[in-house]
Order: sequence, then structure tokens, then C-alpha cells
Amino acid sequence: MKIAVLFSGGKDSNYALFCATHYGWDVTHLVTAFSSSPESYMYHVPAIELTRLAAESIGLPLIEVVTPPDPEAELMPLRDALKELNVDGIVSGALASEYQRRRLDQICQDIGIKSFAPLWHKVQRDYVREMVGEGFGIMVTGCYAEGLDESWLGKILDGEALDKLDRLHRKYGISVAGEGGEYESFVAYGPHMRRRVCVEYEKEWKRDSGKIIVKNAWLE
Amino acid sequence: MLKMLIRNATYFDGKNIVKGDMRHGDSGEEFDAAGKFVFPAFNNGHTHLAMTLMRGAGDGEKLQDWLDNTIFPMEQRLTPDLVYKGSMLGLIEMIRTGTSRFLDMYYFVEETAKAVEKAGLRATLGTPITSFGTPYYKDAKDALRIAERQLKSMRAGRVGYCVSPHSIYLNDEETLIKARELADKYHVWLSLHVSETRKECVDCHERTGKWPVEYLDGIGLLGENTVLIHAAWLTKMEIRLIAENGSSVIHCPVSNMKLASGGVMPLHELLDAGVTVGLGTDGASSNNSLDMREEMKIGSLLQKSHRWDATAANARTMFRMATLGSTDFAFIRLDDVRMLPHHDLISNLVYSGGAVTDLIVDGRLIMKGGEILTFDEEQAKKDFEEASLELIK
Repeated sequence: MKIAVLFSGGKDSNYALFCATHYGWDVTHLVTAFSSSPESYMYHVPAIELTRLAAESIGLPLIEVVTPPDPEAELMPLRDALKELNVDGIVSGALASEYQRRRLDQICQDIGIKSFAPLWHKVQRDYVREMVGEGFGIMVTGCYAEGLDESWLGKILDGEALDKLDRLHRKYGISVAGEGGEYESFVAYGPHMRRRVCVEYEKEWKRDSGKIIVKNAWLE
Repeated sequence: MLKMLIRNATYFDGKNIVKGDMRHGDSGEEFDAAGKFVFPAFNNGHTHLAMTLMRGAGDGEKLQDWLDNTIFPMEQRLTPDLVYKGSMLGLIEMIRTGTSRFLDMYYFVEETAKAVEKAGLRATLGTPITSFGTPYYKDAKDALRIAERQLKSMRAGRVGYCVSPHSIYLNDEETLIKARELADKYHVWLSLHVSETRKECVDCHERTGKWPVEYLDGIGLLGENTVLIHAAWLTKMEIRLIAENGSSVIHCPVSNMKLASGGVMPLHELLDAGVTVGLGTDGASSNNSLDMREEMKIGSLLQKSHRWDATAANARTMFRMATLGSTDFAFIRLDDVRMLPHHDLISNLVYSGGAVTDLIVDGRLIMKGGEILTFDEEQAKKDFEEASLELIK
């Protein structure tokens, strides 16, 4: 089965890629979408520039698709790019967002390929803990929820950080997996990568949210 | 030499459903199969037969909790007598569901061998070799010694032995290599669990820099006599290695789903690469039956659902996997409600099933008209119930 993985560089798309690879499927491409809008409707804007390095470390060609700011037209370039790839299906890191999944399913339906979401409706707390336990280096690149302060920016999730997220979940109801957009992530290393992505960054914090501004990035 | 005559059979000749008489085995007996569908009896490619004793215990727990809190403590209390009685119950279930042959991995192998001889089935039995001690052996060296003793005692017949290092995570490299040497020395199967969980895969990768099958290839464990069990998480590179080495794979879909392994054995990728793939139930504690009819159906549904493809893992593919190498016959009434109508008998067998009425193994009737002929079924069940209570004391 020839597969393209929708890849943002974040934890969900990395784990979806890991699953697809270990289903024995032939992952031929990573596809990443850069929104030309500062406020993306579907895609992870912060730190997306790191995806090229991540793809290089993974060893798969990266197809870059620029998407327009109009939410109705946003997926058209993605659909057109997927059509060119001659794949049997896509794999995405969709966790629980009906909006995201329905729209991906629709464009795949339109071009006659399948749309797989291996993480769909998995227990999010368990899945993030498993990722950390399995050696994925998940860096927090953006914080957008009450309880997540500046100290989280640039942090690599470990057992202690996950315990803190559990406490924040109980206190504020935030998703431990960041599914509600509470935080954005970037996987700097993992068992599916040959080299670690190293990042030099500055923090940009405004009132109650912030993100890292990547100053330099390279493969170790 | 006279062969057993099966008269008035309706059977699948590999391509079509045909009717007529069949010759089988060398017993000279006759069996009238009028009104019955005859099919090759099932070959259960992976089980732990005496784990019938633990069926239902700790059900619904997470895998590691279930192993640590339920299974491992129970296994520490195993005795030869308990294994014999557990094996007998497993054999009843196999006979009643049309299985004549299986590849087993469990402790006190001699007891399972005795049970199989008594029941009249066929089995290839292996001691699960682990680095830690069990009531059956002190350590891995002792387990290898026991395995060799069994191999030395092997005679032509219905019961054979194999070498079964449990897995890469319960054995060191030296033991795995010695197991390989032992299997080669006696020209027998080398069977082991592999890539059942993601954790096993990433732990292996962290320790060795290789994925499990890649690691096994690197230390010379893959060969034509290697049987890889589960293989639920495989990369395409590992599929290629399995194919290049001529190794086989046993798919255990129900166990993988019940234990939430998450992975799905890449059936079509393996078949396309030319790999021989069989089907197994795993033990009755993680399935929780030994019924190959269920395994065919659920295995087929899993692949179809996983791949979004109604053509995946069709009935004939599953049937072939479930009956690999079978030389025995099982029978189901053609008017069994789940075998009607007769548009496609193989499809009926895989997806709707039916009650197995008769079983012929090695030219001998083991079950006739629903009655097991080789041992007292009621007594075996009574003995089993006492044994299962003893295990939870």
C-alpha cells in the first residue's frame, strides 16, 4: 500500500507516520502544508519550518504545499498535490477533530484514495505517555491555554512534564495531548529518525500565550 | 496398503466444490459423509494449549498488568498434572471446532505430548525458553537442555517437537543463537514471538539500533525453519528480510486485538512478498477460544477494516492460512443452518461457520456424529474443573 503521510513535524503526525511504517506500508512521501495565513484553520504554523529537517532525518521526500487563507479553498492545493503522488491513501495524525478528519476524508474521496487516521479516538493521555516512553522527543513550540506559561516553551516532554499536564487537565480541563490547540509540538528526535533536530530559539510571549521563534536549526 | 474410504463426500478440491468418494490415510476404515461438507482440518499455528486453565482470569486488564498480576503468578504454580488436564480441555475444544494439528509453546511439554497422543491429534510442541526460571526449569540453559532431551526422544508420529525461545525480550542473544543451533541440528522448527507490541519494537531499536526482525536477521535467527509469531508491527524492510530468508509468519488477529497490540500484521504485503502465512489463536487466556473458524472470520474482518478494502483477506485466503499443510479432515452438515444456502461453502465456513460433527486424523475417526471416540470427554472436563480451581488457590 503506497502511502503519503500528512506531516507537520508535530507529535501526532510523527506518531501516525511511525504507525504507518510499522503497518508494513510503503510510505513514499511526507506532505506538509504551509498556510499563507497567520491564523491557520487546520495546520500547525509555529515551527513548521523545522519539518524539512525532520523529513531529512526520517529519510523521506517532503512535498510542500502552500494553502490559501480562505477556509473553503484551503484544502484544494493539498488535494491537487495528493492526486499527483500516485498513492493508495494518506495517513494523518487526526485525534478527535471531526472538522479536520471529515475534510481530509472528503478530499481523499474526491480523488479516489483512502484516508487513514491510526490515532483516531485513542486514549490521548495514554498515547502521549507511550510516545514519551518509546523515546520520542516532543518539544513544546507554542502555548495557547490557561495554565501553560512561558516555562513550557521549548520544554521536551518527560514524565514530570506529563504529570504537570495531568494536573492542569484536572484544574483547567486542558487536553493532555493538546488536541484543543492548548499547545503545539515538534518532534526533535525519535526511533524513526536517524539524527536529532537541534534547535536554537527565542521565546515570544504575549499576555497569556506564546511560541518559540527558531533562530537556528540543524541536524546533529 | 488399504486407504480409508470417505464415501459420498462434498469437498473443496482446491478450486471447486466437488462430490464423490475420497481415499485417505491407511486405516482401511469406511466413513459415510453423505450430507456433510468435508474440509481439511485446521492447523492452529500458534497456541499455548494448557492456558485453558487461565481462561477469563484477569480479563480486561492492560497487557502488562494482566501478565504481572494474573498470568505470571498462576504460571509459577503450574504442575505437570495441571498442564495435562489443561491440555486435555484444549484438545476437546480443538476437536469440536475442527482442528487436527497445532504448533504449541508451553511448559511441561511431556504432559501436553501425552494428552495429544491420547486424543489422537497432531502437534509440534516447544518449551518456551526464557532467561528466568519457571517451575519447569531453572534458567535458559536448563530450558535448552530440556528442549534437546525432547528432540532426542522424537520419533516419527503425530507428536513432534520444535525449539521455542519465547522472544527477543525474554532471552539474551546467546540463548537465541543456541536455540537456532539446536533447531538446525535436529532439523526442526524454530518458533518465537516477535514484534507483538510497539514497546517491544522501540525497546529493541533503542538497545540494538535495529527493529526486531532486522535484529533477528543480524544474529542469524531467520531461516527457512523460522516461524515468527504475531509480527503485528513490521516495516517493509523487515517484510523483505522475512521473504529473503524463507521464514514463515503466524497471524494471531484475535489475540492482537484483544490485547490491544495496536499493530496489524501486513498480510497482503507478506503474501505479495511470497511469505508463507498461517493463522493461530494464541492461548485461550488471550483469545479466549481455540476456535480457528472465529480466527478466520475475525482475521479477515480486521484486514478489511484496517485497509478499507472489502477485497482484502478473502474467504479462500483465510481458509488456506487456517489449513496450511493439513492432511486430515473435518465435517460439517450441509444442512447446518449456518451453511445454508450453498452459494459459496468456503465463504459460509469462514464467515458463518457451523458445528463440526466429525474429525478424521491420520486415517482414524477421532469424533463421529459429535461424539469424541478417543477419550472420556466428561471425565476430562471434570478433571479440568478441579485443576483450574487448584491453580487459583
